Amino acid sequence: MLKFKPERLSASNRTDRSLLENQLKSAIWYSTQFKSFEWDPSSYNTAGMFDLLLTNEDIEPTKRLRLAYNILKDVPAYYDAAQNNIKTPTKEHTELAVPQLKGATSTLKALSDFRKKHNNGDLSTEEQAEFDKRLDKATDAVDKYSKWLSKKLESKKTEWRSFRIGKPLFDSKFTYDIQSGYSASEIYLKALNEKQELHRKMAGITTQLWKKYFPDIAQPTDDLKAIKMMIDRLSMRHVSRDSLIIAIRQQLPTLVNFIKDKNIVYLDPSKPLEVRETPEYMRGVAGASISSPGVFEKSRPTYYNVTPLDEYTEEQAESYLREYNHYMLQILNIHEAIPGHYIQLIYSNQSPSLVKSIFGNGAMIEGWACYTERMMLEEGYGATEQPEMWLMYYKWNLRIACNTILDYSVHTLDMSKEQALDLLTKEAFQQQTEAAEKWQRCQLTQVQLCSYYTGLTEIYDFRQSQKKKLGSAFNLKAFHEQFLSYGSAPVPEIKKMMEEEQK
Amino acid sequence: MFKNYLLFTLFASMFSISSIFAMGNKSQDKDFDAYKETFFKEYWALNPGYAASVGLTDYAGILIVPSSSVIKSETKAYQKC
Repeated sequence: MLKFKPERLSASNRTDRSLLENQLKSAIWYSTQFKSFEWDPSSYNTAGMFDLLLTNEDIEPTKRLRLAYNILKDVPAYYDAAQNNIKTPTKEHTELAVPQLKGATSTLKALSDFRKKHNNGDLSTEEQAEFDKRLDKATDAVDKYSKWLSKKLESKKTEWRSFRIGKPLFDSKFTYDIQSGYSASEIYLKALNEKQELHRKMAGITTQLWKKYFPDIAQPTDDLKAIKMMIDRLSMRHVSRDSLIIAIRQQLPTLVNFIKDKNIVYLDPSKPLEVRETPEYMRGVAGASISSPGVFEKSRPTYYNVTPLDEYTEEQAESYLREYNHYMLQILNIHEAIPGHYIQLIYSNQSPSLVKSIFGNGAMIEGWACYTERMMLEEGYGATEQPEMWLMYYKWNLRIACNTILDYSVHTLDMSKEQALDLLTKEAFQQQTEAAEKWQRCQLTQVQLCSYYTGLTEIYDFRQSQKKKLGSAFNLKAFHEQFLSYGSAPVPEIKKMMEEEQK
Repeated sequence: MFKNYLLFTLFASMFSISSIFAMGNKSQDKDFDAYKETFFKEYWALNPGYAASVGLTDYAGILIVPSSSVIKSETKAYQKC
């Protein structure tokens, strides 16, 4: 790899080289320094692989059954290796692993049903008997691993590793994962300033709206208190717990029409988006997410995963729905679907550079989704609901800045749970359930929560600089389509390529 | 066994890639494109789950058992790239 000199490569290949170099260095760092395979029991789960087989319409059912038959043989060895690798786990990842392993068992049951549905495919009588044996052994292996972890959780003698990775590992992980022009501590300081600026803007809107929503109550002199009261009031407008997924489905056509009317970006009608309940094995980290088809998958739709609120108490569900209220649900749909993740990942898959599509940069992907929220509002989305929509957007934006503050502070500055929940509920105005889930996520992931704010900052600043540079020649749709055409490359790399093409 | 075969192939192909280059000052794009092609072939072999998830169905029937020796071999393979 090092034999290739950047100055002797085209702009696109220079970026590919840079991405590959980062990928290789990162892979080595993960296995020799980060070593999550020794402390994260949730990283071992065969559910995803079987689920992929069960749902992959690009492969004939008979072939899928044959492939599953082959894989089943190795499942016991897989979980034995997992058990051998885990040295000192974190309690938090162990607690995540146990319920997620139920998903592994569920997919094995689904596999058994799949086999019945397809009349054993082309398996011979002997192979059918062997299939049963392998299935039983695989189920036992999942169960054994799960019980081993449960015992660790029950025992008072278990030695746990802290989920906080510390500054040296955090800084390195930030460098490899985010690939930003900023360091971790620089973006943390920027996020702290952003929080203050957002509080100022939110206080202004709160004053503007006060008499409309609280005609008989004097506005508190404490800005944070007044903003919280206004947000709480606006958050009362939300869908019912049973209609969350339905509401999301219904909102998507509105977004499609807006994108077309405003000429924001081209939408490929041949790439379907399906809203579905989050599969069981994927639950526990985020309430909503996107599962996009792979680069080589032509027929699979993009899935918009929404976790149903079945497991929530009435109180928890109400708290969650207030967080994703009438206004926020629209911003969520912009972020996850149109023109956020769903659109970006379709463009990414069409990029001529496989390297840029495969080694997608998290900050670019999340940054794009966050950028579209602001851009849509700037273009007039939700114009009939202003300035309420802007207030809620700022709250969302505040969440992004606070994600960075939280991630950095928890992993490198020993921020306590109480301090974290205070930050999220008092300064970022989050509901208790949302804040508790964010605390949970921060314990289970590292650096990823910084990707949103870092990516947004870099993309927005770049767009503004392009606007200034090109003046009246600047075209928003052209900017978006060119920006997205480079796959999911890191923003600084896209910036270089776009500027080079403009020379 | 299969894993060992994959790793052997990786080492062999990376070695052969490195011997391809007797470079002057001209553009390296063509050689780099060839490198990328080989890189991906070997990368998919080391990460069949990921390969399957992006739609390379030929890798869908492979489950890598993540033993410590496999992890070490993978690291060595990446260091050789």
